[in-house]
Amino acid sequence: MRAKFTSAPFVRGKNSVPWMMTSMLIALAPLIAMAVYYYGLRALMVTVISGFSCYLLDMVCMLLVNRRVEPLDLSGLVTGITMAMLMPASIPYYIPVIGAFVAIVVAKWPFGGFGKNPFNPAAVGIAFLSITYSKLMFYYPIPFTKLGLESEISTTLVQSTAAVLKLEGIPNFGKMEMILGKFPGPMGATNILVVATCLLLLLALGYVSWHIPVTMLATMGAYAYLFPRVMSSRIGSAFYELVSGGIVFVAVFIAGDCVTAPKTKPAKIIYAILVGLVTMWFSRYGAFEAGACFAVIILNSVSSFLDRACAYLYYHHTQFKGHPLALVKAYANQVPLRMGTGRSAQKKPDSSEKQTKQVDETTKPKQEGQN
Amino acid sequence: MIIGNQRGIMPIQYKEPAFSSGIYKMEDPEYLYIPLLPAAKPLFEQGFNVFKEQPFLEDGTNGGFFYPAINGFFKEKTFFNIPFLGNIECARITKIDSIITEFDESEKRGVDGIRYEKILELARKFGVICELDGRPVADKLEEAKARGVTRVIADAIEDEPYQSAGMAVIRYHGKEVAKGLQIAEAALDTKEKSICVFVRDMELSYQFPAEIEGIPVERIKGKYPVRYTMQAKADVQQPTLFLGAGALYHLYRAVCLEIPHHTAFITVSGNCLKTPRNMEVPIGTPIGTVLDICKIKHKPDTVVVGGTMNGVSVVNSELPVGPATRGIYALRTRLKTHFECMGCAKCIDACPSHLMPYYLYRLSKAGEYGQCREYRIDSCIECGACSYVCPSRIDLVSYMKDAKKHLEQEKTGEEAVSHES
Repeated sequence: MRAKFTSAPFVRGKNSVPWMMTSMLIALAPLIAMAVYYYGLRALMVTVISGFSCYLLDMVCMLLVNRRVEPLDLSGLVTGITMAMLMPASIPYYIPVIGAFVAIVVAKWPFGGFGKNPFNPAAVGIAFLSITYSKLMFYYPIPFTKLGLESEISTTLVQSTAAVLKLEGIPNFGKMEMILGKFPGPMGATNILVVATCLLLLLALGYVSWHIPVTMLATMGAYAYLFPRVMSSRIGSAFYELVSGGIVFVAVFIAGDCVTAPKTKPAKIIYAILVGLVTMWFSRYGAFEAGACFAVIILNSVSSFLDRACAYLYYHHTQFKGHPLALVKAYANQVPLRMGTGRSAQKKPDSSEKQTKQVDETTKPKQEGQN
Repeated sequence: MIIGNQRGIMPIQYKEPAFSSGIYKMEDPEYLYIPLLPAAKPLFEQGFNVFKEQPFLEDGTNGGFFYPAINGFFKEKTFFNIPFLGNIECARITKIDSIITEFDESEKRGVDGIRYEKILELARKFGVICELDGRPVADKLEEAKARGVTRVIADAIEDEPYQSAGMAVIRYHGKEVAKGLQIAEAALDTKEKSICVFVRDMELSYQFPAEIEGIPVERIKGKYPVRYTMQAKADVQQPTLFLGAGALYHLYRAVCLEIPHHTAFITVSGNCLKTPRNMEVPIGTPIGTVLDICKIKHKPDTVVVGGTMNGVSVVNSELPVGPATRGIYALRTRLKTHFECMGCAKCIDACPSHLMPYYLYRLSKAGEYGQCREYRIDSCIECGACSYVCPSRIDLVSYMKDAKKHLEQEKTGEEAVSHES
């Protein structure tokens, strides 16, 4: 659809949504390559099936809801590939399709589609598959094992290092092997070196801010250091916690997703700390060895709240010097419950309420999607 | 000087080749239009000849005058919808070739030792207007004197893409600008003065000198909106008056050479022109005439007047150039695709007023204008930085303006109700 600028500014930056999505795909490409290196063409098949299932479902939903299709909207493809990277390479092919359905049709489009979903679709898809197909999702092939291309394969599958940590054991791999991803785990999320490089690439392109990944990993590292599961060494415990379970991948590609994460810097830091803590608690006390996706989903529900709380503190802090509890109480009374639903703000306790007049809306700006 | 800790954007400037092409002095057009503002009284009736050296309009509020830029015949009146002025009746002046006016460009007085009242009188008499806000320079000097201003700055901080007229005036008419600044300094009895230019060294090969006629030239680097940040910070340090480079040039010519303010320095540029350039254009020249000189190579999607970030799109090529026009841009602005907001928060990082355009946009779209006020929409300066960085190409500024307009209407309605009661 073509549109012209009718109001200032009349020049725009070079950023565009298709380019941002393409940058994410470029950042994921090395991880796909490493997955193929470790697990062969089957890893590529799972990735392709997951990616295209998400993309096609996205287009179908777009057609049903908006009555038009935007082929350059690659967000579905990014979601599919992200989910694939968190799956084992041995997964049957129907599992990514089910995950794609849950991610796109259940978690994304009922809320309005692109840019409007409150929960990260990839996190929801992985969470659903983890609960429903735990035996298929949490048993992994050993790297460099030859895997067939048929849907159901019979090969030796083992638990990941995250499961070993959950059983209070010590993973039987060297630190360099762990960093390079030469251990059983999610097919695209084990090579920490490549994930860190992808993070640097995304930071350089300006499409991800460092606040969420760095803070989340620092929080988890600090927690693992203070409350180690590997008793022999605190630093070793922190190291194994961070490189197991695809946590670094989740911190970079899922927790930092711009649609569902908070928008302001202080809120991002609070959000990342909470995601890190909840992830650690799920990993230790939850039913599954990897709880990062569940933590992201829970904290996605408070992203907007954190933003508005930080904004309120910033705009009103001069009124409440030295009385943080008074500020919290005033905030609880002032901030409306939901945004953008047509409901007006709660009544202020000290100001008199005046009836506002209905304003003529004929001069509203043009809505998106209109020529 | 770097404006540190600044929020904003760093757009590609596109100031070349216009900036290095000199200032093209346009010849008198065949006809031009002079807006007959309500406060202005025409000194000539329709059907009479008008002349460059005789004032055509008298401002009833401050006693200033306005001169026609050509010798011509006051043929007829016509209405134009002029940006920021509304539907205004304009006088059409048609050039008379046979009458030629040559102004004597010898200095009638030096820049030193002129009294404040004499400077105001001459600035009003010869109709000097500041291009930054379209107000008479005499009025600005009077207000600055009352405010106790202690610093005067020549403002050539052209931080918008394509715009370079002020910087070109400093480069090619630096001495006159310096003398105009000395006159303003003498009028206000200030101790500090400087010339500020916006430079991004990677794009301009020209290096401004460290000083011009003994006046320091400050090279400002920073993120758009630099001018807004500079003015806000300068005023906090000490009361400062900002005058445009073109205004100071014309102030010198009015006070020392006794030549009226006839022309405006504007940048005519854009990605649809073969020869973008800075021009000295007679005030009142139709925009279409000016664009034809620069030769259009592609049909533009938009013709913008003012600035590329804060200007106004116009469709009538007969609209006259005003003293505060500053730029005419013929742009191709077509998009390939249009997306919904994806929540990338680049607008929040770019906003110089520390607002949250992401939430303000959604609140404005939903009609929750009261909540927009909670999120400080009154602090929005409509600079356009949020719209510039938006990858979904959403017109965020238009939503801010809409919300502010609704809040203003509500406030006006409430005041009317309280007056009645």
